[in-house]
Amino acid sequence: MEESKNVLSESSKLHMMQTVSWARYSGIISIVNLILSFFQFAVGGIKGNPLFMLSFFGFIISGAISLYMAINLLNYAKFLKMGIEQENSTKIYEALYHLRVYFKIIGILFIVLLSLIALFIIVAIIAAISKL
Amino acid sequence: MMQNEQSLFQLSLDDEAVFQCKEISKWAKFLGIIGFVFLGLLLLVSIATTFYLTHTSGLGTLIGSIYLAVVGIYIYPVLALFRFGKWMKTALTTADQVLFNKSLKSLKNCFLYIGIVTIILICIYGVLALVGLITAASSLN
Repeated sequence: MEESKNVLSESSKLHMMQTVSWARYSGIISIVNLILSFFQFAVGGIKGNPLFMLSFFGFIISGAISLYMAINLLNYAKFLKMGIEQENSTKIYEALYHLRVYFKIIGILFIVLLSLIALFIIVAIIAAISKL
Repeated sequence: MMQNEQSLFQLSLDDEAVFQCKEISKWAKFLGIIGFVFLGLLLLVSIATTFYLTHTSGLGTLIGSIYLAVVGIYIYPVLALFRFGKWMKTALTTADQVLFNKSLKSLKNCFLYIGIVTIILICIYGVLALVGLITAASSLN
């Protein structure tokens, strides 16, 4: 592709800059949510939750995924702001890479969720047929 | 206007950035489609809940309405994400600057909408927590 076809106009930059603040805000909210989940998990542990070990593994897995997603979103906001302010294409590339990873994680999570739903439906149908 | 805008061009996307944009557009479009599927399923659940629970208990309409409200709230960001993916892909293929801007605006709207919904939800949680504290304090007295 010719370079002239891929230039960022002022309105493109404006829209991108507007996503920066909201992406950063979403990332911060995710981290705050993770901290609150940790407190919830800790209180459950102190109160003697019988399923503590199960919730521990659940918290570790969901926490790690949430943290990685939040970091990617914050990096997208950081690099995009730097890239537009400094007119640096490498930073823009970095920002787009982090946004891609963020979308990819959500996509994979949805694929896993859909697979689990499909599996659940199949199991329910088999159970219903065997009962008949 | 167009000439004025073109004279402002300074920053450009190199081939690698264009590749990233294409990948982002693929995932965004996929997420949009998955979002529509989930919202469709939620709509079915809403209808089923309304009909089933209305006969067994009086909560059918209330729970069905809550599900329907969730569908109504999340239809816009899903649509914005789908549009972003679709328009970004077309803009990069046809080198259409106007469509490229529209796709970025759609992404911005998606982030903005989710951000505002999150703020509203935090406010609702805050009010509920306050009501819970007041109720707990009054029951102690």
